[in-house]
Amino acid sequence: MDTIIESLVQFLQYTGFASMTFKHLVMICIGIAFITMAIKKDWEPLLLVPIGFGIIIGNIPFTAGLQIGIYEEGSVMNILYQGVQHGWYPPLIFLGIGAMIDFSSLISQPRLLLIGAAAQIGIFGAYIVALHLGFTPAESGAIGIIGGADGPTAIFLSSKLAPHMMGAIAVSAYSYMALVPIIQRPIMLLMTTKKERLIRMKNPRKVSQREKIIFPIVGFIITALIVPSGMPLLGMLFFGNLLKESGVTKRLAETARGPLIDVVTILIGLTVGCSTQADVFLTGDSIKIFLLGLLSFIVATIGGIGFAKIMNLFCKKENRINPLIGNAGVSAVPDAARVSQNVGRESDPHNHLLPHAMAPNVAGVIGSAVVAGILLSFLG
Amino acid sequence: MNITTILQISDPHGIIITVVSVLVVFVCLAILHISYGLIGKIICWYAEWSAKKDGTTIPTTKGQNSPHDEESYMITIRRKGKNETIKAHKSAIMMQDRPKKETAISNHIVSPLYGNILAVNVKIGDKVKAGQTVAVLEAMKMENEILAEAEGTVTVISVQKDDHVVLGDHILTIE
Repeated sequence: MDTIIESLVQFLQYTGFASMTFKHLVMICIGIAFITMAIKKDWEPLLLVPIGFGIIIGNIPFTAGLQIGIYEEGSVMNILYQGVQHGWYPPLIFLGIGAMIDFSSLISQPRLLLIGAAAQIGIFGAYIVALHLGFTPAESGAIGIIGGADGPTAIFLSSKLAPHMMGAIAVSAYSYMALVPIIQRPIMLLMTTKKERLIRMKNPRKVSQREKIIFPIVGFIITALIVPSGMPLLGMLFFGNLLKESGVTKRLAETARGPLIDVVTILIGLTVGCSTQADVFLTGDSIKIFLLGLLSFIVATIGGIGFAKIMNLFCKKENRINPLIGNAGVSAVPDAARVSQNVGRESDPHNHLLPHAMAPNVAGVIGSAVVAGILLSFLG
Repeated sequence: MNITTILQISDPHGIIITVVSVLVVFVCLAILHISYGLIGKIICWYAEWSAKKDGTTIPTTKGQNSPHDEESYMITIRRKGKNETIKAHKSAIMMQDRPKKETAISNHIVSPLYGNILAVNVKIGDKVKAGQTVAVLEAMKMENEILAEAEGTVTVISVQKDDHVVLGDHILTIE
């Protein structure tokens, strides 16, 4: 009888209930909130559902040593986590993104590349503030990259510079990407006048197939020569685009932007969610990371819009840029460009800014990958 | 001494890294801008040169038959199942370029985006008012309403549901 009771007690000790703490419950509620946001509000469902469920998986308490947890070497979750830990999921996602992106708008208006560069200022705004809050330069760089509004880039850089903060950085980056319309709209309205919002930009010219094929090759050679440390992300991005535009690798392009990116998105979302275990996630630093991430997004948006307005000072009247496309420079493809389109149409229902906003939007992807490379060279 | 210690001593406020990094990003994208601007021009010149040499025309949004005529554009529309190329005035097609106070009627509605036609809300012969939604275009997972710029009667419809359109494709004509 005693043996049975002992076994029963031992079993109860092994259950999650025995080790459940308030922190675990908070994290599980956060996971449920993510899933709810994705389903009810349709905010980045492809990311928030896997991350949300991952948070729940990662916060079920267990007895250490049974090779269950994500941080226990050899466990299933740990094996899946290797792609995040060693930073090889993000370049695979970039491959798929490259195979999805249409650079036509950027090719026809290459000057809009500069807006994509200007919006990267948000990364450095957060970097400087993080340094003053006591984070090390490497940690500050990893936190700042949230302003690149690019989940894979944030995971790639934080896995190299501050692996212990990667969960908070990744969740913060994806959360703010889902909240792009809410964060950016008021800034766009505050920073632009009614007259500026009504600017109608010239239709972009049609781009030939030859230009589309040359762009990823030239783009990669130039960016990778200047910032070789950004090669994994830039190489995959431009390679994916070449698969799409070459016209002879349709099957590979379809796989890269379809099944491959879906598989990696599931794995990256789930394991990043899992890595947010209460004891490593619910800390004062995580709250600071979230606030710095928000700051970084705000400064990036201001940088993009402000730079578009500065460019207008030097443009002829017929070449003026509607500053509402400046927000798209933060990356977050295509959500940020959609915000430009929606805010633009609020002022003028006939004005379609989407094709123009796609240029700084894809330039932002290139820009944030370049910045990740620069920070890796300086701080890695 | 590792890189963290060096940076903490030499650049405690992060200003040097910020300035250098921002400069590198701008230089990188500016080189891409300049080089691709040049490549684009070379490709356009080459295409024009080849077209002249072969005696053929190249697809462009501007009037191919009158390259120096900046005021007109040639557009291809489908009427009764056949492709027809018509010449239209700039003000009628390039809605984006039309000055705000201009009163000319934009009777040819062209696609402002790359995307798929989700719905065509009018039929030939329908009377439409300015600002009425005549079609819905899906681009980047967004539904964009295409609005009539002026009052009139729909005389030509060049697209149907699920058609893929690119920037500048004719959608319909209101007269």
